[in-house]
Amino acid sequence: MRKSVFLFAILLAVLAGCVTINVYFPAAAAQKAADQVIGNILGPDASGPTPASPASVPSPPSSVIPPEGTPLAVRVLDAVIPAAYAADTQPNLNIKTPAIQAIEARMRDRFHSIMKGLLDSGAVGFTHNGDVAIRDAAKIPLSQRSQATQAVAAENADRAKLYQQIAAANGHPEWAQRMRESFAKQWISRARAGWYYQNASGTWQKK
Amino acid sequence: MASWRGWLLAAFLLLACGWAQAGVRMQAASLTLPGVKLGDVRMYASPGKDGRLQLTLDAAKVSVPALGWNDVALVLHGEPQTAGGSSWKFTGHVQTRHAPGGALADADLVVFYDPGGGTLAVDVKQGKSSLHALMPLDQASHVQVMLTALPLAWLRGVLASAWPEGRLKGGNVAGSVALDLAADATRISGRVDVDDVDLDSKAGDIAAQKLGAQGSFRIENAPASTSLMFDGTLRGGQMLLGPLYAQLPSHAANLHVSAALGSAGIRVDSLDFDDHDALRVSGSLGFDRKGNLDKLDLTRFAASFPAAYTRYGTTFVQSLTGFARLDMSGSVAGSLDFGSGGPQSFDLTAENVSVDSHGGSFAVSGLNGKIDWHAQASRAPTSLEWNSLAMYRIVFGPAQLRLEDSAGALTLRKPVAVAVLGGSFNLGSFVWRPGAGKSRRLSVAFAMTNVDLPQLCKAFGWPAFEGKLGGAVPDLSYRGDELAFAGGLSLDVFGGSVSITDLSMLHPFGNTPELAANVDMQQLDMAQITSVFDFGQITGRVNGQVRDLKLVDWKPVAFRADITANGGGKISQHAIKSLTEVGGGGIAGGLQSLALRVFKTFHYSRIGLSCTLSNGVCNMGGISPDPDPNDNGYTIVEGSGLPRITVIGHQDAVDWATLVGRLKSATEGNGPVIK
Repeated sequence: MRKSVFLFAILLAVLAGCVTINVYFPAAAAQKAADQVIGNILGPDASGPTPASPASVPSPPSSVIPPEGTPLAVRVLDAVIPAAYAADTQPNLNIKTPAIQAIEARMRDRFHSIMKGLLDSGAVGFTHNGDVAIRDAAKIPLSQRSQATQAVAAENADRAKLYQQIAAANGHPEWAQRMRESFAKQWISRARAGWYYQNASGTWQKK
Repeated sequence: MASWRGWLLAAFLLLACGWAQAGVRMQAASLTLPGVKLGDVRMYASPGKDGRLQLTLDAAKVSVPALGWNDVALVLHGEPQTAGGSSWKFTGHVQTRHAPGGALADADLVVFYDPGGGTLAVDVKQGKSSLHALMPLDQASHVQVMLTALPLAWLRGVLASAWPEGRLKGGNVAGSVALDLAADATRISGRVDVDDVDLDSKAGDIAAQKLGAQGSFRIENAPASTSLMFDGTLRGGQMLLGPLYAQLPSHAANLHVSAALGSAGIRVDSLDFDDHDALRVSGSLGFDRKGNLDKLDLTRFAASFPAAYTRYGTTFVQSLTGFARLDMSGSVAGSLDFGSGGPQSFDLTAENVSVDSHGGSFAVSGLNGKIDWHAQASRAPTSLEWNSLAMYRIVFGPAQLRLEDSAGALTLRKPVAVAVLGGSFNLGSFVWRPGAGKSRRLSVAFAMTNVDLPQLCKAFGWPAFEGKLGGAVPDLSYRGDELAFAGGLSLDVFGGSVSITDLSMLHPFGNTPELAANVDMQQLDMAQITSVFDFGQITGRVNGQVRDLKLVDWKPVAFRADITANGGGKISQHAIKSLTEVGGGGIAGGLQSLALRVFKTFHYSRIGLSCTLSNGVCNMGGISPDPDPNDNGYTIVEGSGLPRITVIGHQDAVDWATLVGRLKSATEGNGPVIK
């Protein structure tokens, strides 16, 4: 008898302990974070509408050396100021860890050096799962194909890391896939006219 | 070739009918012959104006799998006649629609059937293109074909069935080809001349454009594997094989290759390539089933630059080093052997090699000498020398390295001193084990003395600071993609010293390296610093440290920094304003502003400022411990004497970009004006 009472007590305790805590994915904040990160990578669209803060446009990668003629201290400070723009709207998610910034810097550099040309020509497009893919290799000259293939592989590796890092930086490594989905939407909405993207069924469409 | 036989058979069938009764009309929904399927077929046989028999075959849908034909519309019209004995000759005209590459769109056709001689001959002529096929009647699987200016596009369907990924877009072929179409194995060999070949794979990784080739070839297609051999020359055009891209010269380059393609990958058993003024290669190589190079054994190679680079090396070098364009001259010759388990051996001899990557990342001139390495054996010592070497825009003077391989470790035999930026770089030890695991592949120790800071700053395009740099790195290691420096560097600047320790660099050869370090500053003379920076004059000595500094793309993204000046000194009105702006404050009215207007300099006892940067936000602090914990902020300047001035910061967390912006406006002198 005593034993059954004891078991009953344990059962009660277990039932009482079944408290569910729901942590909802902050979809709106993720969208905003994705928009800012993508904005930092793509920079302002020269042909599109002017961005909100044209004064703090990211410098192209080659301009590490500040121009001569400006005051010395300003040249030093120019060299340390982060090359991000649109710092006026802070998303609620943390997207400024060193790891995220390093990935962002690599992607920005890759975008300016090769990816932009591939997207403009239609050789490469944004996939519906937040990656890039070669859409039409025939549009790339033979001499640049190997480089383009490498760039696409490196870009996708960085994108996977970016989604993981943002999820991890906000204490929820399990959000990586949701983060990828938020980014996938945002890459496509940020795609410039003439670029290709995949719709939900995987068919290429021209923006 | 089955198609020729198919048509012939159909023609003879009709002929037999026609002979029996003139003006015969036959219709069939479908007709299946070996290798040929005809759909919606109409055949007429009728006497022509001259009374001779005219034959017409009209098939709306002809499928010949061997040719890749699918539902091709075909009309054949001609005149069969006897040609002595039991021989027959059919002379006519053939027209097709929707045939791959427009094959036989409008061609003349002659078929000669000679049972006596035991042969069947087919001649096709369309414009400049012609084909002559001959087959023995007793061995119908063997066909001899002579080709003249035949569009390769005619074979598009053949290629599609053999290589579904392939896209044949253009080119012509001439020559003679023998086909042996046995049931279990197909053998094709011959001597051909192809020009303007334009082909591409669906994924784009194998392609050729405007390629010309001439020579003999043999392809044997067995169920388990395919072997192929080519012996001839390549001439003009471009070629892409995965990471290897070649811009072929307009003159002929000799190529002999024999390879086997199987489920395990591609094995090139022998390769000899000779483009005499650019590149000569002999050896063997292999690709695994994913197309990765898993074996490369070049028993002999000789490359002359720049031709070897511009014709064959651009994409390969870019994939290895990231350099898109190099200026190269000189020559390299030797041999190398890379197995699936890593490098086995190499010996390379450089003659007057110069390389320039543009932009200053890497340049070497007058490189001469040899390196000789074997994973298991020891080799005789060699020497390698250069006139100048530049890395990251830092130019090193001439040097000669004596290297020796002992049991797989390429070792520097004695220390070398190299002139650099007015000082000296002393390479104490250098051991490279190309065959070892990543963690112990490279071990280097070096020291630097008396390096001129203004020259270093100039090399990096930084503002020039007076001073000297020195230091010792007893162990430099390269693991994964991280370059780690044990020991440290020290800079004698601003009358004090700055030491950099725990320096490491991630992706050092990529475009966006990541740098980590700890920095300590001792006894820097603030008068010298502030005079350089236009911040306002401060005197006294300052100590400081930057812990866990992380730079991404040369920009700080994280650190814990603090500076303290505890010895007291003078601080100018301008410097007070600057510090106040950095703290986010303005100058209030009243006594403070009055004092600032009246006095140009003040005395201080302590200055302290700290910033912890993380996630784009700088958490600020002042003198520690805070001399006035009740001031609801942090003290940056603690005054002394009269007038006593104290600067207190109230903003704890400042956006990093905003903070740098404030510093910038402070030093530009357009901060708030004190009235």
